[in-house]
Parts: sequence; structure tokens; C-alpha cells
Amino acid sequence: MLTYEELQAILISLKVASLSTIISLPVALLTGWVLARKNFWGKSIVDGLIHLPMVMPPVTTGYILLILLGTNGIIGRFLFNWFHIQIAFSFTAVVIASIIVSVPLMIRAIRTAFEMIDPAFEDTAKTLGDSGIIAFLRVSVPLAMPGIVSGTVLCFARSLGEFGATISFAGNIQGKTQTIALAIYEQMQIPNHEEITVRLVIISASISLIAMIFAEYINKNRLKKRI
Amino acid sequence: MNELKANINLKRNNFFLNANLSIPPGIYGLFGPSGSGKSTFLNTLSGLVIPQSGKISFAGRTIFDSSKNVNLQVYKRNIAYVFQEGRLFPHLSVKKNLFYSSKSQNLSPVYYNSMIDLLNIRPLLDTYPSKLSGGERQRVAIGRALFSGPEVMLLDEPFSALDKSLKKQIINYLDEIFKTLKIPIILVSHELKDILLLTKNLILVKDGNINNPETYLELIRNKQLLNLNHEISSFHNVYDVEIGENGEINIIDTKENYKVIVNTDTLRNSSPGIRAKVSLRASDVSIALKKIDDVSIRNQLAGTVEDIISHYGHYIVIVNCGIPIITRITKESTDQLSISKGKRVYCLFKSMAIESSQ
Repeated sequence: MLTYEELQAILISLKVASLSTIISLPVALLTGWVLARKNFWGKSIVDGLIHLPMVMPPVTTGYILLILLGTNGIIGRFLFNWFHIQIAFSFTAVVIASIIVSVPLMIRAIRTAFEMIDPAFEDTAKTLGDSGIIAFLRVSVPLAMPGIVSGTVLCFARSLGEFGATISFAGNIQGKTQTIALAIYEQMQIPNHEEITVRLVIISASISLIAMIFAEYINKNRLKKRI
Repeated sequence: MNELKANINLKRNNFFLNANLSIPPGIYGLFGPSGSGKSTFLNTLSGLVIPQSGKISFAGRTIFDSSKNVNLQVYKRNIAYVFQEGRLFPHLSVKKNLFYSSKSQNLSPVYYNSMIDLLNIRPLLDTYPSKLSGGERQRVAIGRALFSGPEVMLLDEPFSALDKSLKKQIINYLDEIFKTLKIPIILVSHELKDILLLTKNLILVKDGNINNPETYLELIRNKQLLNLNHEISSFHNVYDVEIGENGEINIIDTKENYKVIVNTDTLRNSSPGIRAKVSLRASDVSIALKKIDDVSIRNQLAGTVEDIISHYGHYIVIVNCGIPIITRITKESTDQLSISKGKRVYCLFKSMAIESSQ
């Protein structure tokens, strides 16, 4: 049986992964579309900054977040002094760290999906009476759906497995910021807790696997009708 | 009058587009060499490309005016556009493609059912575009454009991806449909014959310059078409015909119904009353000064020479035989027969030279 602490870690992980995926989706859709369709000055810089957390060690990302949003951080100081909002070492910090690290994966998948769609389809929709946003929602989004689903699952799975940025920025507080990954790390440090560690590893792997299979099922079902 | 008026200028790198035309409802063929600006012009009308300056209006409604900063968005223009490759949405069934426009919800079932039958796409309604042939795809694209209730319709090379038989099929569908529409329709094709099968009103595009439409014959007479299209052999005569009681082919829309014997299997086996279009290459018509009895050529129509236009060592001779017949003969033949305006001649053409659009 799972202990109360293990259950808490699983629930926090699922909550963080779900929240960061939900928050990331509209951001990734818009950013992916802009990067795929628009050319603007400084595009490669924006592109690089978005993808930076993907290639940087997550601990570094967490440290940068701490510098920015910590109670004494550049932005965090104002938030604390003016609104008494403390982000670092809170549940919000876990979600933020998770989003920063996982959203580039979603953006990348969605951008590639949009790039593969002929922009002429959106123009066609406009000649049939759709405004830009409606054409995007009725044509580009459904056509990019396999990429969107894959990106969403990747983002969810990455959030679930996030460790470095979370431990630096949100700490490892049981019942508050301790996710499965952090719980596994903690249990690994305690002698004779291998059983708990293995249990958490199996649960973590199972959730990710189920998410992947679910994505595959959705994409196959969608494509089956069209081909 | 629901006139479409465009007076626009567009500059793009080394390319200039200057259009100044006004067209009432009807079918117009936009014809010109590749890269002359045909598609760009359609794009400026639809709003997909914004001209640097000028004005576009339809039925008194301004859709673009650079001087007043008016630029109606594409989706508000109500201009349907049939693209070269159909551009059906691959994630939607044929039915959902057809009824994509929100305006299609207001169509009467009688109208859309008749169009679906006319386009012969009823068996395809639940199919997805990937399973359609080129011709089927184009028919659905035409239906989708019609169901958006357009005030202007643009068709950009709708036949280019189709083989000869499919092309004929689509042209026949369009011919039927266009008769029911009372809106300006602009059709782009690089094949003059394809345009002529649907309309004799042509808008020429040369080096980005576009002016008011003129008829096919006017454009031959004033040499504009000849200067544009050096390949004289591509000039055709196109006629509407009706199958007579005894199976003969009558050219219609003329004061007298001329009997033209046609040797095309499709038409020969058609029932009386069936209407079709036939084409005849200008270079397949010969001129004689009298009727010739001991010859196998079965079509010999008497007429008067109306115009002689010289062009690159050849002559285009327009003969009025009740119907205008465009012929192409060499300078030597013209001199030998002393062909001049007003002269009575016979136009000779073999039955087999006539091609049916069916």
C-alpha cells in the first residue's frame, strides 16, 4: 500500500503536470504558430531564448528563476514588498519551474506541426468567410492536432519528471513542493527504503507510459478517418 | 449594376501590376503568359495581396481604397476563390468542406441539392479529400465556393492539374453552373481554348497591365491577342451546337442554324436536343474561292471576308459565314487567291477537325 506521503507526492506531481500542461498549451499554440508563420526582427534570438531551458542544466534554470523570482530576486522583491506574494519554495514555484522546463518541448512539437501545414489553407478559409483567428482554430489547429497532442504529452511527461529546476527554485517540502521525482530522490538517500523508491519509480514510469499510449491512440483514431 | 471596379497599382521587386477595369456580372477569362500577374491580380481582388495604391469596389461598396485607408479583410469581401489545386481541407469530409462557410447554412435545400447533383458529388459526401481524384476534388472546391454565397467568384487555373477528359468534364459542369449565376466570374487559364469554351469575354494581362475586357474577335482584330500569343496555331473557333432531329449538328446562337457535319463519336451518338460545345483550330480551316464537289472535305461554308490580319508571315482571316470563322493561311495563299475584305469565299474544314467538349 502507498503511504500518505507517497500519495501526496503523486497527487502534487499530477496536479503540477496537469496545471503546467494546461497553462502551457495556449502559450505554445500561439508561440508555435508565430515562429512557424511569421518573420520578424530578432526571431532567432526569441527562438533561442524559448529553447534555452531545453539545453541548459535544469538546476541552472532553477537558479535563474530564484534570482528573478526569489524573495530577494529582481522581480520577486517587488512582488513580496508590494503584494506580499512569495513565489519561491511554494507550490506555484513548482508549477513555474515545470512550465519553464517543459514548454519548449511543446512549442517545438507544435511549431513543427504548423510548419508542415500549407499556410494556403488558412487563406482559403478566409476567402470562405473566416477571420484570422477562426481560420486558425478551424483549420490550422485541427491539421496540426497530431503535433499538438504529441507536444502536450511530452510537456506533461517532462513536467512529471522535472527535478533540477524544482529542487533549486521550489525546494523539497513534503506535502507542498515534493513531487514524485523529489520523493524518489529523498527515499534514495534513506537506507532500506529501496522498496518505496522502486514503487515510486514504477508509478512514475506508468503514468508517463499511459500518457504516451493515450496520445498515440488519439492520433491514430484521428488519422484513420482521413487516410 | 453589380459592377466590379478595380483601379490598382502594385509593385513588388521588379514586378509591376497596373489594373484599371470595370466588369459587370458575367464570365471573363483572364489570359496572359506565365508570370504576367494573373494570380497576383486575383489575390489583390480577394484581399490576399494588398496593392500599394488604388481602389477596388463592388456594387458601389468600396473594399479597398488606399487614399481613404480602407482595406476590407479577406473574410469580409465575400469573394469566393477556387484555387488551382482545389485546396480542400484534408481534415474535413466532402460534406463538411462543402458547408464550411457559415453562409452555406442559409442556402435552400433545393439549391444545394441541385448543385450537389449538378456537380455529381452526392456519392462522395462522406468521403475525405485524400480519397478523391483530381476532378472530384476540383468539383467539390467549386461547390464549396458556390455555397459561400459569393458576390464575385475567382477561379485560378482550375483545370491545370486535370487530364483532358477530366478537364472537359469540369468545363461542362462550370458551363452549366455559370449560367445560373448573375455575378462577375473571373477565370484564369493559360490555355486559351479552355477559356473560350466558357466565355468569349477576355481580360488580357501583359507585363502586369490589365484593362477592360474585350471579346475574343475584337482582341484578334486589334492584334492584342496576336501580340500576346505568338503561337497562332493555338487559336480556336468555339461554337455552341445542338444535335438536330436527324443527328446533324447545328451551330446555335446565330441567326441561321448552319448545319455542320461533325465526325465526333460522342456527339454523333447523342440524342436530338442535346447541347454541347465544339472547337475548331484556325489552322484547320482552308479557304477556297468556290465550292469544291470532288473532295472529301464535308464542311464548306460560304461567307464574306471581314478582316485580314497579318502576323509573322501568316494571315489570320476572319470570314463571316453567319457565324464568324477564324482561319489561318499563309501569305502565299492569300496573295494567290487575292483575298481581300468583302470577298466571297468558302471556308473548308474536315469533320474530323472538329473537337467536341463532351
